Amino acid sequence: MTVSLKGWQRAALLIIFPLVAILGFTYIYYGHRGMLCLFYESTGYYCPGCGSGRAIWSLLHGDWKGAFCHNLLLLPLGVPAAVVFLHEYIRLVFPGARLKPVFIPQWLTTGCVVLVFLFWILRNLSPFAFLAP
Amino acid sequence: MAVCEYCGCDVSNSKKYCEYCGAPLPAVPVEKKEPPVYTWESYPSKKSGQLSQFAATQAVAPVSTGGLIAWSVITLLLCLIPGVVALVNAMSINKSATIEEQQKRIRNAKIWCIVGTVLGVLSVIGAMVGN
Repeated sequence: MTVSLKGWQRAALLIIFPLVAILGFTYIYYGHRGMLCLFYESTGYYCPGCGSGRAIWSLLHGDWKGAFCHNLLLLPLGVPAAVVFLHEYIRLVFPGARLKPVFIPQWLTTGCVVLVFLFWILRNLSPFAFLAP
Repeated sequence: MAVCEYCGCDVSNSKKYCEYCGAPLPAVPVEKKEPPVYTWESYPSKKSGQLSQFAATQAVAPVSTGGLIAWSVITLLLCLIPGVVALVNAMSINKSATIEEQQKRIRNAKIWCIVGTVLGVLSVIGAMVGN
C-alpha cells in the first residue's frame, strides 16, 4: 500500500501499536481469554474469528493442539498475516530499514477469502462441529 | 519531480528515500515518463481505410497490497463484517481499471480495517471490564 507518513504519525504508530499488542497479549496470557464477539452475540452463529482469543492463549502457553482445536484458521492464516503485518509496520515506521513491500499474488488472496468463507459456513453446521470453538 | 523505480510514485528530487515505500532513491533521479493514453479517436477511422481499434484506458501500475491484506485478515479475525469488506476491497485493488478506482479501493479498505480494528479492541476492552 502506498502510504506517506508524517513524523508525528510515525511516532504515534511507534507508541500505540506495541502498547496495544503488549496489553492485549498480557491480558490473554493471564487467563482472561474471552473476547466479545458481536456477531455471535447477535446471531448465535460463530464467525471465523470465534475462538481466536482462546487459541492465542493456547499458543502463548505452548499448546499447539489446543490452538488448532479452538480456531483452525488462526495458525495457517492468522500467524502469517501477523508476520506480514509486522513486516509492513516496520517498513512504514522505519523507512531506513529498506524493507521491500510485500506483494501477495491474487490467487493466494482469493484462496484465503474462499477458505475463510468455507470455514465460516462449515463450523456452524452440525457435522463439522469439530471446527467450532 | 522524479519517480520511484520501485513503487512508481512521484517523489521529490531532493529526497534520499521514497516517502511512500521507503525504497532508496538513486542519486540521479529517474524522470517520469508519461504512458501513452489511448482513446478511440486517436486511432485511424474506418473511413480512411485503416482499421480502428478498441481504446484502452491508461495502464494502472500494480500496488503492493500485502500489508493491507494482512491487516484485513487480522481485522476479520477481530471483527467479522468490517474485516470481510476490507478484505474484498483489498483483493480488488489491483483489478482496478483506473487509478481513481484503485485509490478509492485502497481508501475503502483502510477505512474498514480501522473500523474493524477499533471495534475489535473495544470488544476486548468490553470483555476486560465485564470480567
